[in-house]
Amino acid sequence: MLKPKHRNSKITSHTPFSMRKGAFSLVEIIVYIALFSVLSVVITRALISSAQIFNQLRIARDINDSAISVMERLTREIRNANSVNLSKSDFSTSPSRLVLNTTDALSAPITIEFFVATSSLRIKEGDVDKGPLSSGKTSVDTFRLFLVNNTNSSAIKIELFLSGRRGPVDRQEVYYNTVVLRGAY
Amino acid sequence: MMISNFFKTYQPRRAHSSVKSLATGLTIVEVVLAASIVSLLFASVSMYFERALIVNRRTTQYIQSAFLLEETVEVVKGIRDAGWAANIAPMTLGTTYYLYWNGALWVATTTEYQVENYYNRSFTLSSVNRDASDNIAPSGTNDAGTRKITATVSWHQRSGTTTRQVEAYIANLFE
Repeated sequence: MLKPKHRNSKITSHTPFSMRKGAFSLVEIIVYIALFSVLSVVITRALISSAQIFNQLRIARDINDSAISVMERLTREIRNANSVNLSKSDFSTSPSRLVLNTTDALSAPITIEFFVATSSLRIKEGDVDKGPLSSGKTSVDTFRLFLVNNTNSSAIKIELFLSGRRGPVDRQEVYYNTVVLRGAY
Repeated sequence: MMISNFFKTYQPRRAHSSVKSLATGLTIVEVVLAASIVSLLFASVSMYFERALIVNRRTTQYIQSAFLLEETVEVVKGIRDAGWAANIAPMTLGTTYYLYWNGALWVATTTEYQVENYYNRSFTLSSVNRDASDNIAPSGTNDAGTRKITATVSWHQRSGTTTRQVEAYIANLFE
């Protein structure tokens, strides 16, 4: 009596490798190594780019924080100012210096000075240095001011370039503003 | 003899098939599955950071554009201070004007200028009406000494064009 074909003992050599108790075949090892290498490359690249992006996020946060605190203080002080002390101020070149004649909370006259020292923007109130307005992690690359004379008022045009660096990642952002001296009205 | 019979009766069962496969090695399906789970995990972390970078870039753009909008309103007020009859009154209502820095003064012009070759910054002036109580109203008597400024900053990026606007009023204070 004939046995069915699938009972043929030769078929055992074609059973899936997992069923076998023997060693791995060359093809299996190559497939595993190929898969492992591709995955390693992909994961390494993902890790490196994540670290770089994380640094970029931190730099951008530092720059934006500095830009907001510098601009807000500058615009508020310029807006409140009565006039610009022309002899003590430097305009049109970077780093510029701005000395404003203004009044304090008790309406007493006071000068407010903005100037750049060691790549950070600092403020003086009545000739007393009150410290930096920009974060220590950002550097003020350009701080250029222009005095705009309109017939009935003056305005200050502000150009602020800030940069940050962490490891190999660096970034520069530019911020512009113009503010009219309302105190002179 | 009794003890050996006991152990024969309570022989541990044959190992479960999955445990057996672990003992002999992983199947290709298991390897691929594990690899895809790990890749998916890293891909999602990577995508999170990519997205964070886009949002971060947008934050910077919003800060820069907010200052540009503030500047636009301030510059128009400065132009007003330089003379209403000479500067503001001749401007056509509804026409888009751009601001150009000539090195000493801001000039309003109909020629297009971009800030940093990126931000499209413009403004339009429109007429202002006042009601019987002299308050600004949608309809009423036209006030020739007041103008409404609509400042616009827009910029293009891959996801589309972002436009931001602010509105303010200027009045003829000095003439």
